[in-house]
Amino acid sequence: MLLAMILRPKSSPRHERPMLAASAPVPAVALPGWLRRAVPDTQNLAAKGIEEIAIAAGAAFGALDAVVRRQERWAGVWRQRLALAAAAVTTRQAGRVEDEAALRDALLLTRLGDDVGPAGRMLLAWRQLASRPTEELLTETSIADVLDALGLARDDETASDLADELRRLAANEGFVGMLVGAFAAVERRSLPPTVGCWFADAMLAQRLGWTHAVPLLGGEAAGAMGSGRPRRAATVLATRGVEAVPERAKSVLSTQAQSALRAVDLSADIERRAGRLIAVAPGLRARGADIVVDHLLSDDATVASAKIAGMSDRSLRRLFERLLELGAVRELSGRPAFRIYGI
Amino acid sequence: MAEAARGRKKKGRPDDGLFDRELDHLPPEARWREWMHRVEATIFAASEPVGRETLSRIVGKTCSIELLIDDIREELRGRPYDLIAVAGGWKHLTRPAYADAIRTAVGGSERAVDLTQSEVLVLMCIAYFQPITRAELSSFFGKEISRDLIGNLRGFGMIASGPRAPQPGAPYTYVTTQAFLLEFDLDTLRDLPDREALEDAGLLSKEKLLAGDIMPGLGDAGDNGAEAAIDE
Repeated sequence: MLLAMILRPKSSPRHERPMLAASAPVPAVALPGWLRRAVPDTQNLAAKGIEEIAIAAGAAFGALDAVVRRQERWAGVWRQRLALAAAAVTTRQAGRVEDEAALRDALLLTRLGDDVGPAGRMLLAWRQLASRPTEELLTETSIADVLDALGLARDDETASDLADELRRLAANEGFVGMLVGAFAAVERRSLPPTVGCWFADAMLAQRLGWTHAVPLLGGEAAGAMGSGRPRRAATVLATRGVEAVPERAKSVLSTQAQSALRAVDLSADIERRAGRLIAVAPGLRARGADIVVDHLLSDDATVASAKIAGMSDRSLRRLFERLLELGAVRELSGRPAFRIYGI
Repeated sequence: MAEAARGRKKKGRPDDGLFDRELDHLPPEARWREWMHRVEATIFAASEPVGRETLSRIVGKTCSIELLIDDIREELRGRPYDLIAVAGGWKHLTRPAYADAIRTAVGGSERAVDLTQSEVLVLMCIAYFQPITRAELSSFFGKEISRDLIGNLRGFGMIASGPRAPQPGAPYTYVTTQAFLLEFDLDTLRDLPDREALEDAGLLSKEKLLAGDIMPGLGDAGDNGAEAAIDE
């Protein structure tokens, strides 16, 4: 109640509210400088040995693991943001023009029962990675769903073959062998590397015992994709023949290390925003505000017409406006209408 | 009609939880045969391709649908039709060699989807640029794309509503359907002809197309009289 009184007075929306110390007792995972330097970017990748890269990757996974294991309330929005980033890269690679904002629109402005369109389905593929429990990710149906959503020929035989092969890889191979094997399996069936990224993320999560996978690699291929001509440029994970395993291991590991660092960095940002939302949450008087806050912390974005906590369109909009005023959420679309809110 | 009704009943029954999927009382061979029959009957009775999930509801948990389908296809080897994987499922289709015979016998009337040239053009435009609104289509072609035309395409099941566009009036966008892929014998949207060439030429951007005047005008599309209002 005291908090409510502190937060009640109106102030300019841009006013930065001091974060309450109590709301964030655990400091964010701080990345040491040496780790940032040790993770190679695409330019100096060739110069480094696999051992160097492996050490950096291991450390990066450790940092990421620490973030995942904290099981913060905002883990959902963090994973979904990463999924969105991965989907944006995927659409670009598939030769589509949708960016993150357009993907968000496709998902949120589609009415129940309508079709989200090809780009929206790509987003759904990555959201599937971030939302389904880890153990369900590499089943035959899940793989078939992903291939379908990514706009690839839906062929159940491929899906069941892949499920078998990935299961074998996960059971028999070491860390690196498993990840490299996943890409090789995808390549042998002449599927795009995006699928390999999806599998590798899922397998990493299974190996590390996470309850949910974190979309990492999908968002990363962008660096090497260049901007202008996506199809022609080779990706980091591009095909170099199945025999070049050390080379492939190097590129997979370094890409994963980069993406792990990116994910950790994003988690710090999300934590700051989530902290602000959690701090103002007790002062919200709308009925169902708790559920809305939870929703905001577990998903990338939402619209006022969403059916949350049985709140009406109008009261939800009012709540979002209030949160906007308090600086606890952002309007993500930049439009005066069809507004989309998220932390 | 009796056959059709029976087929429907068969598909409907699994929902009540009494349907025996596993058939444990049968010896393995008879069980396999029964599963084959079930799968083939279901696909035969369906008017559209039957997906894996649907089929997995009528066979045992351990049963591999691929192997079942392979066995069924093996049996159909000498027949003028076959089980083909299309649009994310399986369907009975006649072999291409008999296309002429069928066409001669039934003529053109056998085609359920009879699109005019302008409808095909609009449909292709939707296929390449989906999701796209009617207003955007009209602006592409430099002439009103009538609601009738969209309604026809929808009636044929070639397009469906996509996300609503964040524009005044929240018009629906349109996207192509599985039926579209089936009709044009495409496995996925990536199989659309010349997609890569268009992409390399930078023509797959809606904004660019809307800004420029790239598409050829549409000969006889729709009525000019229709107002430029937006759906709903």
